[in-house]
Amino acid sequence: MEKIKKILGMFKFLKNKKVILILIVLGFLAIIPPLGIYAWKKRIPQKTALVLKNIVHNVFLEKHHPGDIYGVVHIEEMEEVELSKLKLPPKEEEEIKKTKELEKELKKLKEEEKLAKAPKPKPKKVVKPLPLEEYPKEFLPLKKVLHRPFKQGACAICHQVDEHGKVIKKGKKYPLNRPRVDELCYSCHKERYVKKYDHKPVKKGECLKCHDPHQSNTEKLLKAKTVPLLCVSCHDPKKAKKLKIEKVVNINVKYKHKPVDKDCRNCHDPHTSDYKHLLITALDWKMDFCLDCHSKIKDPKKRKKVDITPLIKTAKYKHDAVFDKDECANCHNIHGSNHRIMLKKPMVKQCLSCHDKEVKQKETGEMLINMKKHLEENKYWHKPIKEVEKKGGCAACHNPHGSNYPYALKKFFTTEFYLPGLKIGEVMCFSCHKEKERFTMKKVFSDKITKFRNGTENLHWRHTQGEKGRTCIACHDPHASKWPNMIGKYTNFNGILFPIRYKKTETGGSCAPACHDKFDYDRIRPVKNVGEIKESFK
Amino acid sequence: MRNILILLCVGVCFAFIAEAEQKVYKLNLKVPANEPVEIIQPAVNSIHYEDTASVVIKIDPKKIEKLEMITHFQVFHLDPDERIIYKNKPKKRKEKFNFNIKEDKLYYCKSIELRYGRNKIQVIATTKDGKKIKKSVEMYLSSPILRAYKYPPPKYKEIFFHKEKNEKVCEECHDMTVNEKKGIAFEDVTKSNCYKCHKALTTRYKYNHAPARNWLCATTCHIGKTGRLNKRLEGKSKFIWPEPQGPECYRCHKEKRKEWDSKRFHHDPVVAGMCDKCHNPHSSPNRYFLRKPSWYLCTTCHEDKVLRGHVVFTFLGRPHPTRGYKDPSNPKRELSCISCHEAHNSDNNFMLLKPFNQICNMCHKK
Repeated sequence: MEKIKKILGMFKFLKNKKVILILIVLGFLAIIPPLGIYAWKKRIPQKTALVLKNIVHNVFLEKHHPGDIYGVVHIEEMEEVELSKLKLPPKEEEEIKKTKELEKELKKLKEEEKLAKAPKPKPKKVVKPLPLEEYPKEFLPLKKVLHRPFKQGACAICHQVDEHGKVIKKGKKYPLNRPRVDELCYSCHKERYVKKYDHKPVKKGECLKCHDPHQSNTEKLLKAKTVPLLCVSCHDPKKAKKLKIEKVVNINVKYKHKPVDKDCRNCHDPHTSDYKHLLITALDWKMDFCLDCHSKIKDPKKRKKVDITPLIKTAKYKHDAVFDKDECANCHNIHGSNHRIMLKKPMVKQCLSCHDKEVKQKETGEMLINMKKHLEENKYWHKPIKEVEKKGGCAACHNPHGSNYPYALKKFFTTEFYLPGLKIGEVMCFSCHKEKERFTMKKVFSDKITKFRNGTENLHWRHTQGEKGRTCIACHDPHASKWPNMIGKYTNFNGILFPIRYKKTETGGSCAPACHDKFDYDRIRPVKNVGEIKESFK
Repeated sequence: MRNILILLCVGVCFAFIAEAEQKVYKLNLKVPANEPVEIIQPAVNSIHYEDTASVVIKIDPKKIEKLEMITHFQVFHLDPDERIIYKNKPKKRKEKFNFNIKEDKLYYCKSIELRYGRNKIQVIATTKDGKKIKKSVEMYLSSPILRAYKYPPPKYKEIFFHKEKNEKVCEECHDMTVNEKKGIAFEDVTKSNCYKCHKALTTRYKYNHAPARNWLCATTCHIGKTGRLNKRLEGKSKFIWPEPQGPECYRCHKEKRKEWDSKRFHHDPVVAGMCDKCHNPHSSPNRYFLRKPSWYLCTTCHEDKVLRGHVVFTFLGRPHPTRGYKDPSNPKRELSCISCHEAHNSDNNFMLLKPFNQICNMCHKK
C-alpha cells in the first residue's frame, strides 16, 4: 500500500489546473497533424465537402433532374452526324496505287511474250505482172487490185481469142468462152454456193453486178469504194422502190451503227448462208445476235459498250418490250437512225408509244400509270423529261433494258413511305440533287439552301430525319406536277392515296395531307400550327 | 281405319289452329299513330361507342309551333378516370337546344355530345293549341377501357341505324350512297356523303386519324364484314366493322407488323389484335390517338402499380416516381410508363426498352 501511495504522490503536480490544461493542449498539438495528414490521404475532407455541397444545392437551390448535371446525349444530336463519305486512310491508298502499277507491268510483260510466241507471216507467191505497155488502153492507168488472169495477161482464160492471142470484138461486146458468166467464174472459183438461202444476184448468176472482172480500187474487185456503199446501191430506200426490193437500209443518218458503217460483212454473208437474213451465225437475229457483241466490254472508260446481258437476262425487274415480238428491234433501228441511241423515235416519244395506257408489271402485278395522260395533264415537268437532249430523257433515271431495282431504276430507290434518316443519302435522287445541307442542317437562313422552311426551321430536315424519315416520293412526283418544285398530287401511304392539297403563297405555303392537318409555313413570319407534333415540356 | 281417321282429324285441327294464329298475328300489326312529334334517331335503349350522336326528329309542321331539346347526363360525381377527360369541360348536367321551325320542313337533325354512362334526350314541343308534348329517349355511352362503363346494363342493346329500311327516311335530303373510290381520298373533304352527318367525329379534337379525316370510311374500316368476336352482329348494319380490327389496321401499317413479328415478347391486346382498346380510330385529344394520356391509360388495367407502388422503394416506403417529372432520357416528354417500357413488343424481359442491366443507366448515370 505504501508503494502505491508513493507512486500516487509523484502525480501530485497534476492537481494544479494549469498543468492539466497545458498537458491537454500539448497532447492535441501532437495528435492533430498526423490525423490531418492521414485524413487528407484518404480524401475524407473532399468527400464530405462534396456531400455537403450537394445537400445545400438540393435543399436551398432549384430542383433539378440528373440530366442537368451529367451530360445526356440525346438521339437528335446523334442524328446530326454528317453524311459525307469517309475517306480511306492514306496508307491503304498508297498500297492500292502500288498494286495497280504492278498489274500494269505484268500486262506489258505478257504482251511482249505473246509477240515473241506468235508465228511469223508466210511470204506470198509473187506473180510476174505484164509490162504496162501491153495492157489495152481502156484499162490504163491501172488500179490497186487486179484480177490475177488480168494481171498476167491471160485474157484467153475468159475471152475468145484469135490466132495471135488477141481478144475478138463483136460489135461492142467481147464474147466469152462460155455462154453464162457464172459458169465461167465457177470454173476457177470452185467453191459453189449451195447453202439454204442465196443472195438474189448469186442465185441468178449475176456476179458482175458487184464484182469487176478486171481491176478495182477495193479488195475483192468490188465496184464501189466500200462494202456498205456497194450494198446501198440496191438497198437504199429510194432505189429499192424501183428495183422492188423489200429489205431497206438507210446509211445517211446521224447516229450510225459502227459495224454497219464499216462493213456489212460483219453480220451478213454477201453470197449464201444457212440462216435467215444471210447472217453469219446460227444465233437468233432478234436478241442473241445483238448480245454476241454487246456483252463484250472494250473500253470501260468510254462507256460505249456495256455488258447488257445481266441487265436483260438475270435482272429482277424486266422490261416487257425487250421480250416482245421483235425484241431489240422494237425500239432500236438496228442499222442506224436519226435519233439518239439509234431509237426509232426520239427518246420520250418512243417510251410513250407503249406507255399511253395502263400497263401491267409482270413481276409485282402492279398497274403502271398512263404516263402520256399524266404528262399532258400536268404542266411542270421534271428536267430530264423537259430537256431530253441535255439530261437524257427517261433513261436518266430508268434502265430500259431491266434492273435489279424496282421500276427498272438505275440505283437504289424505294416506294415505301418511311426510310430511317441516314440511309436517305443512298437514294437515287441524290446522284443529281447533291445539296447536302438541305437535309443535314437544322436551322437554315438563306433561300439558296431551301425555301421550304418555317422561319429558320428547316422543314426538309424535319421531314427526312429520324427513325421515321420520309422518302422523297412521299411528297414529290418524279415525272410531272401541277405545282412548281414537283410536288405531287397524292401521297401514297401503303396503298391509299391521300391528296396533298398544296397551296402557295408569296413567302410560304401550306399543305394538308393525311399525315397532319392543314399546316402553314412562312419564311419571314414563322407560323405556329395547331396539333404540331413538336411538343415541349412545361 | 278409326285410328287413321282420328289422326287425320287431329292434323286438320292443328293446321286450322296454326292458320288462325297467323291470322291473329297479321291482324295485330302495329299501325303507327299519326303523332305530331317522333324521335327517329337515336333508337331507344341503344349503346353508343363514340361521344357524339346525331338526333333526328320528325314533326308535323302544321300542328307544332315550338320545338326544344334537352340532354341530361347521369353524372353525380366524377370518377378519377373521367376527371382527366372532362378536365376543361363545364360540369352542367343539362344542355338546351332550340329549333327554328319552317313550314315545309318535316325532319330536323342535330348532333349532340354524349357523356359516359346513361344519357337522356328529352324533346318538348308546344302545339298551336298551347299543349305541351314531351318525349324522351335513353341511351348509353360505353367505353372499351373505362372499368365503370365497360359492361352496360342488360337493358341496353346494340342497335344500328344504317339499314336499307331506315335509310329511306333520310333519302329526301341526304344522298345515302357511298361515293368513295377505293384507295383514293377526296380532294375536297366536304364532298363525302358521310361528312354531312358525322362531321363532329373529326372536328372536335386536335389529333385526327388520316382515313377518318379524309373520310375513307366504307372502303378502309367499315367494310361491312364481321370478325371472330362480333359474328353476332352479322348483317345488322351496312357499315359494320370486324372485331378484332388488327388485320384491318395492319393493311396500312405494314412495317409495324414486320417489325413486331420478329420480337420476343408481346403485349396481350396486341396479340389479340385489339388496337381499338388503347387507340381511338377516329380522333383524340392525345397523341397517337390514345384514349387517355399514356400514364392514365396504362394504369386503368395495371392498377396494382398505383396502389402498391412500382419498381424500388426507399427506406421510408416511398416508391420510385412514375410521373410528374421531366423524362431525363428524352427531354421532350414527361416521365410516364413508356419512358421505360415498350407498349407493343419488346425483346427484353418486362417489355423494357433496353436489357435489364442497362435500363437504370438511361437516367442514373455514374
